Amino acid sequence: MSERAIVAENLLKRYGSVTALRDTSFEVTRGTITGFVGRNGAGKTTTLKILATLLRADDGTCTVANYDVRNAPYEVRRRIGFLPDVFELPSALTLREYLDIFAELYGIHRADRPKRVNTALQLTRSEDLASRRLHALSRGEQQRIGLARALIHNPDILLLDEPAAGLDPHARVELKELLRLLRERGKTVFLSSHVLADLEEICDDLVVIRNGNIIFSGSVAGFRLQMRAKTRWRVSTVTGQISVPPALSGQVVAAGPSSIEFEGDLSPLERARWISELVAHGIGVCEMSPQMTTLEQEFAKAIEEEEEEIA
Amino acid sequence: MSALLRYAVMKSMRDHLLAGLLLAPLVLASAPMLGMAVGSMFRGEPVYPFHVPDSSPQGTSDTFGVVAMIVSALVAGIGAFWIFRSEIASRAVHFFFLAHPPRAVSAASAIYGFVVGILAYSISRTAVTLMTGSPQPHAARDVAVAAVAIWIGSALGSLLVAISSEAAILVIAYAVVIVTTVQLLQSVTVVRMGIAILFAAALLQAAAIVLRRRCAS
Repeated sequence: MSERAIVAENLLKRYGSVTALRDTSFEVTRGTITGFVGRNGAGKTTTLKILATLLRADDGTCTVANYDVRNAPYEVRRRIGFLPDVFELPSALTLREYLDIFAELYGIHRADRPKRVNTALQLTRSEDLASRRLHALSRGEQQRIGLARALIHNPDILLLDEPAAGLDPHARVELKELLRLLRERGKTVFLSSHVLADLEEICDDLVVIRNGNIIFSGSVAGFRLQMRAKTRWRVSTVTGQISVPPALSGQVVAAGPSSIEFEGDLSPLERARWISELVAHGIGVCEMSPQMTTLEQEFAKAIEEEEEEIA
Repeated sequence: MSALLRYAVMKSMRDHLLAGLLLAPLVLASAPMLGMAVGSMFRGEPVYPFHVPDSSPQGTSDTFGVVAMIVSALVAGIGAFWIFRSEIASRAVHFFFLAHPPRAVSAASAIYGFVVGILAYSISRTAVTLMTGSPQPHAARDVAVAAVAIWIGSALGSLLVAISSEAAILVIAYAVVIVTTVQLLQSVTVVRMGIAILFAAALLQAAAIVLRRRCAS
Protein backbone atom coordinates (compact mmCIF):
# COMPACT_ATOMS: atom_id res chain seq x y z
CA MET A 1 0.00 0.00 0.00
CA SER A 2 1.28 3.44 -0.92
CA GLU A 3 2.71 5.67 1.78
CA ARG A 4 0.78 8.54 0.29
CA ALA A 5 -2.75 8.84 1.59
CA ILE A 6 -3.63 11.89 -0.49
CA VAL A 7 -2.08 13.11 -3.72
CA ALA A 8 -3.35 16.26 -5.40
CA GLU A 9 -1.83 17.24 -8.72
CA ASN A 10 -2.39 20.50 -10.57
CA LEU A 11 -5.89 21.05 -9.26
CA LEU A 12 -7.82 23.87 -10.86
CA LYS A 13 -11.17 25.11 -9.65
CA ARG A 14 -13.05 28.16 -10.82
CA TYR A 15 -16.26 29.70 -9.49
CA GLY A 16 -17.37 31.87 -12.39
CA SER A 17 -14.60 34.41 -12.93
CA VAL A 18 -12.94 33.66 -9.58
CA THR A 19 -10.16 31.08 -9.58
CA ALA A 20 -10.20 29.31 -6.23
CA LEU A 21 -7.42 26.80 -6.94
CA ARG A 22 -4.67 27.08 -9.52
CA ASP A 23 -2.14 24.36 -10.17
CA THR A 24 -2.55 23.11 -6.62
CA SER A 25 -0.33 20.12 -5.87
CA PHE A 26 0.58 18.47 -2.60
CA GLU A 27 0.83 15.11 -0.88
CA VAL A 28 -0.21 13.81 2.51
CA THR A 29 1.70 10.90 4.02
CA ARG A 30 -0.24 7.97 5.45
CA GLY A 31 -0.51 7.89 9.23
CA THR A 32 0.38 11.54 9.76
CA ILE A 33 -1.43 14.64 10.92
CA THR A 34 -1.07 17.28 8.25
CA GLY A 35 -2.14 20.86 8.79
CA PHE A 36 -3.64 22.83 5.93
CA VAL A 37 -2.97 26.50 6.48
CA GLY A 38 -4.15 29.56 4.64
CA ARG A 39 -6.05 32.75 5.05
CA ASN A 40 -9.82 32.96 4.60
CA GLY A 41 -10.63 32.45 0.93
CA ALA A 42 -7.26 30.87 0.18
CA GLY A 43 -8.92 27.69 -1.13
CA LYS A 44 -8.80 25.38 1.90
CA THR A 45 -12.49 24.46 2.00
CA THR A 46 -12.62 24.04 -1.78
CA THR A 47 -9.65 21.67 -1.64
CA LEU A 48 -11.15 19.65 1.21
CA LYS A 49 -14.47 19.34 -0.61
CA ILE A 50 -12.70 18.12 -3.74
CA LEU A 51 -10.84 15.54 -1.64
CA ALA A 52 -14.16 14.51 -0.07
CA THR A 53 -15.67 14.07 -3.58
CA LEU A 54 -18.30 16.69 -2.84
CA LEU A 55 -16.94 19.10 -5.43
CA ARG A 56 -15.39 18.47 -8.82
CA ALA A 57 -12.14 20.10 -9.83
CA ASP A 58 -12.17 21.70 -13.28
CA ASP A 59 -8.77 20.20 -14.00
CA GLY A 60 -6.05 18.17 -12.35
CA THR A 61 -6.08 14.83 -10.61
CA CYS A 62 -6.54 13.82 -7.04
CA THR A 63 -6.27 10.45 -5.36
CA VAL A 64 -7.40 9.64 -1.84
CA ALA A 65 -6.51 6.23 -0.36
CA ASN A 66 -5.18 5.33 -3.82
CA TYR A 67 -8.57 5.96 -5.47
CA ASP A 68 -9.19 8.71 -7.98
CA VAL A 69 -11.82 11.09 -6.57
CA ARG A 70 -13.33 11.60 -10.02
CA ASN A 71 -13.43 8.00 -11.22
CA ALA A 72 -14.01 6.15 -7.94
CA PRO A 73 -15.88 8.55 -5.63
CA TYR A 74 -17.73 5.78 -3.79
CA GLU A 75 -14.49 3.97 -2.93
CA VAL A 76 -13.08 7.26 -1.63
CA ARG A 77 -16.19 8.04 0.42
CA ARG A 78 -16.05 4.70 2.18
CA ARG A 79 -12.53 5.47 3.35
CA ILE A 80 -12.89 9.06 4.51
CA GLY A 81 -14.53 10.83 7.40
CA PHE A 82 -15.35 14.45 6.62
CA LEU A 83 -16.08 17.27 9.02
CA PRO A 84 -17.09 20.49 7.22
CA ASP A 85 -16.53 23.95 8.70
CA VAL A 86 -20.24 24.63 9.23
CA PHE A 87 -23.07 22.13 9.39
CA GLU A 88 -26.57 21.72 10.75
CA LEU A 89 -27.76 18.93 13.02
CA PRO A 90 -31.34 17.59 13.10
CA SER A 91 -32.72 19.02 16.32
CA ALA A 92 -35.42 16.35 16.66
CA LEU A 93 -33.01 13.41 17.11
CA THR A 94 -30.82 12.39 20.00
CA LEU A 95 -27.10 11.97 19.41
CA ARG A 96 -27.30 8.18 19.77
CA GLU A 97 -30.13 7.99 17.22
CA TYR A 98 -28.25 10.29 14.87
CA LEU A 99 -25.07 8.21 15.01
CA ASP A 100 -27.02 4.97 14.70
CA ILE A 101 -28.69 6.24 11.53
CA PHE A 102 -25.32 7.17 10.05
CA ALA A 103 -23.93 3.78 11.02
CA GLU A 104 -26.81 2.22 9.09
CA LEU A 105 -26.24 4.62 6.18
CA TYR A 106 -22.67 3.33 5.98
CA GLY A 107 -23.98 -0.21 5.84
CA ILE A 108 -22.83 -1.28 9.30
CA HIS A 109 -24.70 -4.37 10.42
CA ARG A 110 -27.44 -3.85 13.02
CA ALA A 111 -25.63 -6.05 15.57
CA ASP A 112 -22.40 -4.02 15.28
CA ARG A 113 -24.01 -0.61 15.40
CA PRO A 114 -24.30 -0.09 19.17
CA LYS A 115 -20.60 -0.91 19.59
CA ARG A 116 -19.60 1.49 16.80
CA VAL A 117 -21.79 4.24 18.24
CA ASN A 118 -20.30 3.73 21.71
CA THR A 119 -16.75 3.82 20.32
CA ALA A 120 -17.44 7.08 18.48
CA LEU A 121 -19.01 8.55 21.62
CA GLN A 122 -16.07 7.50 23.77
CA LEU A 123 -13.45 8.76 21.34
CA THR A 124 -15.06 12.19 21.18
CA ARG A 125 -15.94 12.19 24.89
CA SER A 126 -19.58 12.73 24.01
CA GLU A 127 -21.14 10.03 26.20
CA ASP A 128 -22.85 12.71 28.28
CA LEU A 129 -24.59 14.00 25.14
CA ALA A 130 -25.78 10.59 23.91
CA SER A 131 -29.39 10.91 25.06
CA ARG A 132 -29.71 14.60 24.41
CA ARG A 133 -31.63 16.05 21.50
CA LEU A 134 -29.36 17.82 19.03
CA HIS A 135 -30.58 21.34 19.68
CA ALA A 136 -29.26 24.19 21.77
CA LEU A 137 -25.75 22.76 21.63
CA SER A 138 -22.62 24.81 22.02
CA ARG A 139 -20.23 25.09 19.10
CA GLY A 140 -17.80 22.81 20.91
CA GLU A 141 -20.46 20.13 21.42
CA GLN A 142 -21.48 20.36 17.77
CA GLN A 143 -17.89 19.88 16.69
CA ARG A 144 -17.60 16.78 18.88
CA ILE A 145 -20.79 15.38 17.36
CA GLY A 146 -19.52 16.14 13.87
CA LEU A 147 -16.31 14.30 14.66
CA ALA A 148 -18.22 11.36 16.12
CA ARG A 149 -20.24 11.15 12.91
CA ALA A 150 -17.06 11.36 10.80
CA LEU A 151 -15.58 8.46 12.80
CA ILE A 152 -18.66 6.20 12.88
CA HIS A 153 -17.57 3.99 9.97
CA ASN A 154 -13.94 3.81 11.13
CA PRO A 155 -12.43 5.59 8.10
CA ASP A 156 -8.72 5.51 7.27
CA ILE A 157 -8.53 9.18 6.41
CA LEU A 158 -10.08 12.14 8.18
CA LEU A 159 -10.65 15.42 6.39
CA LEU A 160 -11.41 18.10 8.96
CA ASP A 161 -12.26 21.67 8.04
CA GLU A 162 -11.50 23.99 10.94
CA PRO A 163 -12.22 21.42 13.66
CA ALA A 164 -10.87 23.73 16.37
CA ALA A 165 -13.00 26.71 15.37
CA GLY A 166 -15.12 27.93 18.24
CA LEU A 167 -13.66 25.51 20.75
CA ASP A 168 -12.64 26.71 24.20
CA PRO A 169 -9.06 26.00 25.34
CA HIS A 170 -10.07 22.85 27.21
CA ALA A 171 -11.95 21.46 24.22
CA ARG A 172 -8.95 22.29 21.99
CA VAL A 173 -6.70 20.25 24.25
CA GLU A 174 -9.16 17.35 24.06
CA LEU A 175 -9.29 17.64 20.28
CA LYS A 176 -5.52 17.50 20.05
CA GLU A 177 -5.48 14.42 22.28
CA LEU A 178 -8.07 12.76 20.06
CA LEU A 179 -6.13 13.53 16.89
CA ARG A 180 -2.94 12.13 18.41
CA LEU A 181 -4.84 9.00 19.43
CA LEU A 182 -6.19 8.61 15.90
CA ARG A 183 -2.68 8.96 14.50
CA GLU A 184 -1.49 6.26 16.89
CA ARG A 185 -4.23 4.03 15.48
CA GLY A 186 -2.84 4.55 12.00
CA LYS A 187 -5.33 7.12 10.76
CA THR A 188 -4.33 9.93 8.43
CA VAL A 189 -5.63 13.33 9.47
CA PHE A 190 -5.71 16.29 7.10
CA LEU A 191 -7.06 19.34 8.86
CA SER A 192 -7.35 22.99 8.10
CA SER A 193 -7.06 25.46 10.91
CA HIS A 194 -6.39 29.06 11.74
CA VAL A 195 -5.05 28.17 15.17
CA LEU A 196 -1.47 27.69 14.10
CA ALA A 197 -0.19 27.17 17.61
CA ASP A 198 -2.34 24.05 17.80
CA LEU A 199 -1.09 22.83 14.43
CA GLU A 200 2.50 23.33 15.49
CA GLU A 201 1.90 21.10 18.48
CA ILE A 202 0.26 18.17 16.73
CA CYS A 203 1.10 18.26 13.04
CA ASP A 204 3.85 16.27 11.38
CA ASP A 205 3.49 18.12 8.10
CA LEU A 206 2.11 21.38 6.80
CA VAL A 207 0.58 22.45 3.52
CA VAL A 208 0.42 26.23 3.16
CA ILE A 209 -1.92 27.69 0.56
CA ARG A 210 -2.28 31.24 -0.62
CA ASN A 211 -4.83 32.37 -3.22
CA GLY A 212 -5.16 28.83 -4.50
CA ASN A 213 -1.40 28.27 -4.78
CA ILE A 214 0.53 25.92 -2.55
CA ILE A 215 3.49 27.89 -1.24
CA PHE A 216 4.83 25.20 1.05
CA SER A 217 4.32 21.46 1.48
CA GLY A 218 6.49 19.47 3.85
CA SER A 219 7.33 18.88 7.47
CA VAL A 220 6.73 21.48 10.17
CA ALA A 221 10.46 21.43 10.84
CA GLY A 222 11.09 21.97 7.11
CA PHE A 223 8.75 24.95 7.12
CA ARG A 224 10.61 26.46 10.06
CA LEU A 225 13.93 25.76 8.33
CA GLN A 226 12.75 27.41 5.14
CA MET A 227 11.67 30.45 7.09
CA ARG A 228 14.80 30.43 9.18
CA ALA A 229 16.77 30.99 5.98
CA LYS A 230 15.76 34.55 6.52
CA THR A 231 15.88 34.59 10.30
CA ARG A 232 15.87 37.93 11.96
CA TRP A 233 18.92 38.45 14.14
CA ARG A 234 19.07 40.92 16.98
CA VAL A 235 22.34 42.49 18.17
CA SER A 236 22.17 44.13 21.57
CA THR A 237 24.78 46.81 22.03
CA VAL A 238 26.20 48.84 24.88
CA THR A 239 26.59 51.87 22.67
CA GLY A 240 23.94 54.60 22.62
CA GLN A 241 23.08 55.80 19.11
CA ILE A 242 24.33 53.29 16.58
CA SER A 243 25.85 54.14 13.26
CA VAL A 244 25.63 51.03 11.16
CA PRO A 245 28.83 50.18 9.27
CA PRO A 246 28.31 50.75 5.51
CA ALA A 247 29.36 47.16 4.72
CA LEU A 248 26.45 45.81 6.75
CA SER A 249 23.79 48.43 6.17
CA GLY A 250 22.18 46.54 3.28
CA GLN A 251 20.93 43.76 5.56
CA VAL A 252 19.73 45.89 8.46
CA VAL A 253 15.97 45.97 8.88
CA ALA A 254 15.76 48.00 12.10
CA ALA A 255 18.15 50.04 14.20
CA GLY A 256 17.35 51.36 17.65
CA PRO A 257 19.34 53.17 20.35
CA SER A 258 20.73 49.93 21.82
CA SER A 259 20.06 47.28 19.21
CA ILE A 260 20.06 46.53 15.54
CA GLU A 261 18.14 43.88 13.72
CA PHE A 262 18.96 42.33 10.42
CA GLU A 263 17.84 39.37 8.36
CA GLY A 264 19.88 36.66 6.75
CA ASP A 265 20.99 33.08 6.78
CA LEU A 266 24.22 33.56 8.69
CA SER A 267 26.78 30.85 9.28
CA PRO A 268 28.80 31.09 12.54
CA LEU A 269 31.67 32.53 10.49
CA GLU A 270 29.48 35.23 9.03
CA ARG A 271 28.14 36.05 12.47
CA ALA A 272 31.73 36.45 13.71
CA ARG A 273 32.44 38.76 10.77
CA TRP A 274 29.42 40.86 11.66
CA ILE A 275 30.50 41.17 15.28
CA SER A 276 34.06 42.10 14.26
CA GLU A 277 32.74 44.72 11.86
CA LEU A 278 30.54 46.24 14.53
CA VAL A 279 33.32 46.24 17.13
CA ALA A 280 35.69 47.76 14.58
CA HIS A 281 33.21 50.65 14.26
CA GLY A 282 33.25 51.21 18.00
CA ILE A 283 29.99 49.43 18.74
CA GLY A 284 30.11 47.32 21.90
CA VAL A 285 28.26 44.07 21.27
CA CYS A 286 26.56 42.38 24.27
CA GLU A 287 24.69 39.64 22.50
CA MET A 288 23.69 38.38 19.09
CA SER A 289 20.68 36.09 18.99
CA PRO A 290 18.07 34.83 16.51
CA GLN A 291 14.60 36.14 17.11
CA MET A 292 12.44 33.11 17.87
CA THR A 293 9.15 33.25 16.06
CA THR A 294 5.95 31.31 16.42
CA LEU A 295 4.55 29.30 13.55
CA GLU A 296 1.93 31.99 13.24
CA GLN A 297 4.58 34.68 12.62
CA GLU A 298 6.36 32.46 10.17
CA PHE A 299 3.13 31.77 8.33
CA ALA A 300 2.44 35.51 8.12
CA LYS A 301 5.98 36.03 6.89
CA ALA A 302 5.62 33.35 4.24
CA ILE A 303 2.42 34.94 3.01
CA GLU A 304 4.00 38.40 2.95
CA GLU A 305 6.99 37.15 1.01
CA GLU A 306 4.75 35.42 -1.50
CA GLU A 307 2.78 38.64 -1.93
CA GLU A 308 5.96 40.64 -2.42
CA GLU A 309 7.16 38.17 -5.03
CA ILE A 310 3.89 38.46 -6.90
CA ALA A 311 4.00 42.27 -6.69
CA MET B 1 -32.18 3.79 1.70
CA SER B 2 -33.87 2.31 4.78
CA ALA B 3 -31.67 4.50 7.01
CA LEU B 4 -32.75 7.61 5.11
CA LEU B 5 -36.39 6.62 5.50
CA ARG B 6 -35.89 5.89 9.19
CA TYR B 7 -34.27 9.30 9.57
CA ALA B 8 -37.19 10.92 7.73
CA VAL B 9 -39.84 9.20 9.82
CA MET B 10 -38.13 9.85 13.17
CA LYS B 11 -37.49 13.47 12.32
CA SER B 12 -41.02 14.15 11.09
CA MET B 13 -42.60 12.37 14.06
CA ARG B 14 -40.60 14.43 16.52
CA ASP B 15 -41.22 17.80 14.87
CA HIS B 16 -44.92 16.91 14.26
CA LEU B 17 -44.64 17.35 10.49
CA LEU B 18 -45.92 13.81 9.99
CA ALA B 19 -49.08 14.37 12.07
CA GLY B 20 -49.80 17.60 10.22
CA LEU B 21 -49.39 15.95 6.83
CA LEU B 22 -51.52 12.93 7.70
CA LEU B 23 -54.38 15.01 9.08
CA ALA B 24 -54.44 17.83 6.50
CA PRO B 25 -56.59 15.99 3.89
CA LEU B 26 -58.93 14.72 6.61
CA VAL B 27 -59.49 18.23 7.94
CA LEU B 28 -59.92 19.81 4.51
CA ALA B 29 -62.28 17.08 3.19
CA SER B 30 -64.43 16.69 6.27
CA ALA B 31 -64.58 20.22 7.72
CA PRO B 32 -67.36 21.47 5.38
CA MET B 33 -69.52 18.42 6.13
CA LEU B 34 -68.89 18.67 9.86
CA GLY B 35 -69.72 22.35 9.76
CA MET B 36 -73.05 21.71 8.09
CA ALA B 37 -73.81 18.80 10.43
CA VAL B 38 -73.16 20.97 13.48
CA GLY B 39 -75.38 23.70 11.98
CA SER B 40 -78.20 21.17 11.46
CA MET B 41 -77.83 19.98 15.03
CA PHE B 42 -78.21 23.52 16.39
CA ARG B 43 -81.32 23.97 14.29
CA GLY B 44 -82.69 20.83 15.94
CA GLU B 45 -82.56 18.79 12.74
CA PRO B 46 -79.61 16.41 13.13
CA VAL B 47 -78.89 14.51 9.92
CA TYR B 48 -76.96 11.39 9.05
CA PRO B 49 -75.54 10.56 6.61
CA PHE B 50 -73.96 13.98 6.14
CA HIS B 51 -74.36 15.73 2.85
CA VAL B 52 -74.09 19.23 1.45
CA PRO B 53 -77.25 21.10 0.37
CA ASP B 54 -78.58 20.20 -3.06
CA SER B 55 -76.53 17.00 -3.13
CA SER B 56 -77.13 13.43 -2.10
CA PRO B 57 -74.83 11.64 0.38
CA GLN B 58 -73.35 9.72 -2.57
CA GLY B 59 -72.73 12.94 -4.52
CA THR B 60 -71.17 14.50 -1.42
CA SER B 61 -68.98 11.44 -0.95
CA ASP B 62 -67.77 11.64 -4.57
CA THR B 63 -67.05 15.38 -4.37
CA PHE B 64 -65.16 15.25 -1.10
CA GLY B 65 -63.42 12.04 -2.18
CA VAL B 66 -61.85 14.07 -5.02
CA VAL B 67 -60.94 16.81 -2.55
CA ALA B 68 -59.25 14.19 -0.33
CA MET B 69 -57.38 12.82 -3.34
CA ILE B 70 -56.08 16.21 -4.52
CA VAL B 71 -55.10 17.34 -1.02
CA SER B 72 -53.35 14.00 -0.38
CA ALA B 73 -51.34 14.43 -3.59
CA LEU B 74 -50.42 17.94 -2.44
CA VAL B 75 -49.50 16.61 0.99
CA ALA B 76 -47.25 14.03 -0.68
CA GLY B 77 -45.52 16.85 -2.55
CA ILE B 78 -45.14 18.93 0.60
CA GLY B 79 -43.81 15.93 2.52
CA ALA B 80 -41.25 15.09 -0.14
CA PHE B 81 -40.28 18.76 -0.36
CA TRP B 82 -40.04 19.40 3.36
CA ILE B 83 -38.42 16.27 4.75
CA PHE B 84 -34.84 17.03 3.63
CA ARG B 85 -35.38 20.73 2.97
CA SER B 86 -33.24 22.04 5.82
CA GLU B 87 -30.47 19.48 5.09
CA ILE B 88 -30.35 20.55 1.45
CA ALA B 89 -30.51 24.27 2.28
CA SER B 90 -27.68 23.97 4.82
CA ARG B 91 -25.69 21.46 2.72
CA ALA B 92 -25.87 19.00 5.62
CA VAL B 93 -27.15 16.66 2.91
CA HIS B 94 -23.48 16.21 2.01
CA PHE B 95 -23.23 13.83 4.96
CA PHE B 96 -25.81 11.60 3.29
CA PHE B 97 -23.93 11.84 0.00
CA LEU B 98 -20.81 10.48 1.67
CA ALA B 99 -22.72 7.27 2.31
CA HIS B 100 -25.29 7.26 -0.51
CA PRO B 101 -25.54 8.89 -3.94
CA PRO B 102 -27.86 11.89 -4.44
CA ARG B 103 -30.40 9.73 -6.27
CA ALA B 104 -30.92 7.77 -3.03
CA VAL B 105 -31.76 11.01 -1.20
CA SER B 106 -34.19 12.06 -3.94
CA ALA B 107 -35.77 8.61 -4.00
CA ALA B 108 -36.06 8.53 -0.19
CA SER B 109 -37.84 11.89 -0.11
CA ALA B 110 -40.22 10.77 -2.87
CA ILE B 111 -40.95 7.44 -1.15
CA TYR B 112 -41.53 9.25 2.14
CA GLY B 113 -43.96 11.65 0.40
CA PHE B 114 -45.71 8.78 -1.38
CA VAL B 115 -46.24 6.71 1.79
CA VAL B 116 -47.45 9.75 3.72
CA GLY B 117 -49.78 10.70 0.84
CA ILE B 118 -51.26 7.20 0.63
CA LEU B 119 -51.82 7.06 4.39
CA ALA B 120 -53.34 10.54 4.40
CA TYR B 121 -55.66 9.59 1.52
CA SER B 122 -56.71 6.37 3.27
CA ILE B 123 -57.56 8.25 6.46
CA SER B 124 -59.42 11.09 4.77
CA ARG B 125 -61.29 8.86 2.27
CA THR B 126 -62.40 6.51 5.04
CA ALA B 127 -63.65 9.49 7.06
CA VAL B 128 -65.60 10.84 4.07
CA THR B 129 -67.12 7.41 3.48
CA LEU B 130 -68.16 7.11 7.12
CA MET B 131 -69.57 10.63 7.29
CA THR B 132 -71.60 10.30 4.13
CA GLY B 133 -72.49 6.66 4.78
CA SER B 134 -71.77 6.06 1.11
CA PRO B 135 -69.16 3.57 0.00
CA GLN B 136 -67.11 4.43 -3.08
CA PRO B 137 -68.74 2.91 -6.15
CA HIS B 138 -65.38 2.77 -8.02
CA ALA B 139 -63.03 2.26 -5.12
CA ALA B 140 -60.34 0.41 -7.08
CA ARG B 141 -60.27 3.03 -9.83
CA ASP B 142 -60.14 5.88 -7.30
CA VAL B 143 -57.32 4.27 -5.35
CA ALA B 144 -55.32 3.71 -8.55
CA VAL B 145 -55.79 7.34 -9.64
CA ALA B 146 -54.96 8.55 -6.13
CA ALA B 147 -51.78 6.44 -6.04
CA VAL B 148 -50.59 7.81 -9.39
CA ALA B 149 -51.45 11.42 -8.43
CA ILE B 150 -49.70 11.01 -5.09
CA TRP B 151 -46.64 9.52 -6.82
CA ILE B 152 -46.49 12.52 -9.18
CA GLY B 153 -46.87 14.89 -6.22
CA SER B 154 -44.03 13.14 -4.36
CA ALA B 155 -41.66 13.13 -7.31
CA LEU B 156 -42.45 16.78 -7.97
CA GLY B 157 -41.77 17.71 -4.32
CA SER B 158 -38.44 15.91 -4.57
CA LEU B 159 -37.52 17.83 -7.72
CA LEU B 160 -38.67 21.21 -6.39
CA VAL B 161 -36.59 21.00 -3.22
CA ALA B 162 -33.56 20.16 -5.35
CA ILE B 163 -34.21 23.30 -7.39
CA SER B 164 -34.86 25.65 -4.47
CA SER B 165 -35.49 25.36 -0.75
CA GLU B 166 -37.85 28.34 -0.83
CA ALA B 167 -41.37 27.23 0.11
CA ALA B 168 -42.93 29.52 -2.54
CA ILE B 169 -41.78 27.10 -5.22
CA LEU B 170 -44.46 24.68 -3.96
CA VAL B 171 -47.00 26.72 -5.93
CA ILE B 172 -45.77 24.76 -8.94
CA ALA B 173 -46.66 21.53 -7.16
CA TYR B 174 -50.18 22.80 -6.43
CA ALA B 175 -50.76 23.65 -10.08
CA VAL B 176 -49.29 20.44 -11.52
CA VAL B 177 -51.01 18.14 -9.02
CA ILE B 178 -54.45 19.68 -9.52
CA VAL B 179 -54.19 19.60 -13.31
CA THR B 180 -52.81 16.05 -13.36
CA THR B 181 -55.37 14.64 -10.94
CA VAL B 182 -58.30 16.21 -12.78
CA GLN B 183 -56.92 14.94 -16.11
CA LEU B 184 -56.55 11.42 -14.73
CA LEU B 185 -60.06 11.43 -13.26
CA GLN B 186 -61.63 12.61 -16.52
CA SER B 187 -60.66 9.42 -18.29
CA VAL B 188 -58.95 6.60 -16.48
CA THR B 189 -57.10 4.57 -19.10
CA VAL B 190 -54.05 2.37 -18.85
CA VAL B 191 -52.22 4.58 -21.35
CA ARG B 192 -52.90 7.75 -19.37
CA MET B 193 -51.86 6.11 -16.14
CA GLY B 194 -48.71 4.74 -17.78
CA ILE B 195 -47.78 8.17 -19.14
CA ALA B 196 -48.37 9.69 -15.69
CA ILE B 197 -46.12 7.08 -14.03
CA LEU B 198 -43.38 7.72 -16.60
CA PHE B 199 -43.77 11.45 -16.04
CA ALA B 200 -43.22 10.90 -12.30
CA ALA B 201 -40.16 8.72 -13.00
CA ALA B 202 -38.72 11.45 -15.19
CA LEU B 203 -39.32 14.01 -12.43
CA LEU B 204 -37.49 11.77 -9.99
CA GLN B 205 -34.55 11.29 -12.32
CA ALA B 206 -34.38 15.06 -12.86
CA ALA B 207 -34.50 15.56 -9.07
CA ALA B 208 -31.39 13.38 -8.59
CA ILE B 209 -29.49 15.22 -11.33
CA VAL B 210 -30.45 18.69 -10.07
CA LEU B 211 -29.64 17.77 -6.47
CA ARG B 212 -26.21 16.46 -7.41
CA ARG B 213 -25.43 19.55 -9.48
CA ARG B 214 -26.78 21.95 -6.87
CA CYS B 215 -24.82 20.47 -4.00
CA ALA B 216 -21.62 20.13 -6.01
CA SER B 217 -21.25 23.85 -6.64
